[in-house]
Amino acid sequence: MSVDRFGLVEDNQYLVVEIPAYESFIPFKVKYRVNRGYERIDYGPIPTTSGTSYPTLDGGTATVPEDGVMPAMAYMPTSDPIVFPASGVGLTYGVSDTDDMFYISEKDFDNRVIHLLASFSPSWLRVVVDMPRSTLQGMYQKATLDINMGMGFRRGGIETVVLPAVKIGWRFANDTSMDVYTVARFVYGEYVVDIVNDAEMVFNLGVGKVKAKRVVLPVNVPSYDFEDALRKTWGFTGFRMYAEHEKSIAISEYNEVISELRR
Amino acid sequence: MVSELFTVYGKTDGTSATGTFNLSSPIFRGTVTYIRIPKGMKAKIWGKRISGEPATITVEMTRDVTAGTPEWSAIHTEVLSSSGELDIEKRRPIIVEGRTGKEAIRITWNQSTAAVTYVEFDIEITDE
Repeated sequence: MSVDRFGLVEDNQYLVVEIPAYESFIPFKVKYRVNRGYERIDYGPIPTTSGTSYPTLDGGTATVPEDGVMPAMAYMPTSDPIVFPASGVGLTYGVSDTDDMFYISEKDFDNRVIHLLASFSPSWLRVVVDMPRSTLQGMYQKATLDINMGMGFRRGGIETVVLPAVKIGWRFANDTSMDVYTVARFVYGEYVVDIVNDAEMVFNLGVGKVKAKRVVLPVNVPSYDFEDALRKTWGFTGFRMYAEHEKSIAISEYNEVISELRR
Repeated sequence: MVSELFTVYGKTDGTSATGTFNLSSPIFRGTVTYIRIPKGMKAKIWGKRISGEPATITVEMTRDVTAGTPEWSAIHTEVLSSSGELDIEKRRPIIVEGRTGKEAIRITWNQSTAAVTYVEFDIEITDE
């Protein structure tokens, strides 16, 4: 199996991160997991702040009455996402950004990614991850979807991979009549990775011939910030996705990309 | 599957023979007089505990809690006919579906003589 009982990638197995906006993927070999043995973060309340005003799904506004509470019918707009401060778990140093514990600077680690399986309580909370932060990514045909619509969100939890230099934002909505006390929990894997640099293996991972854990990033819209983050970390935005019958074209292209990769 | 099970607690005011419970719960702040059901999800009432003085306890629902004057209709009734306690847990819950997201449920009491009665309802909000 590529994954363990937590759903995290085992050492020496593969993680394929797909990026729809670029029709690309990045195949990682997971060398090892830094946090082997302590995969769970009981973060505590989602960090909403007392006094913050949010729009409501009914067209009004609601004020957070107490830290960690999500007001009735309130939602977080794209312009007002939250991040999870490191102080929430007692970390005051040693992270790339103490305001956002799930941000990795490429200057600190260009060979690490964080695989996150996030769950939130109450589990009916709508949740969206903006990647990069404050960029709407939900799409349906030509329409842009947002958390205050009838679609374009998940409830209760989300799985994603945090890449170096990519800032993400978390947004929530509570479509009930109760000001709810919230809880955030994460199962995570901080992986030390290599990007697979054998064109044949890259192709086999891309088409699914070689077993790998696959995570599709919520990146449906190209953006400068996201592209810039990947380019300054690795020098590319992933390997283009090809089908099995396109193998010769793919291998040729992949070899060229690999020769220019930063690592 | 998304599922959240929580208990709501209410108490009659002891001075009114009829009324709507103000419900409290560890899962939410303060009290509410109704629980709005998220669109696409269901509210399932699994367990009911009623104790204290006699009362008729009714679960009511409205299809549009956003209306100026929501119309509430009874969907379930339990009767505590004398002082004591009722502890009811059946295999099949009372289910109210959030078809539009405007549905809501509330719990009311009716007593021949105003007195103190307590209720606890176990409610699950789920997508299945």
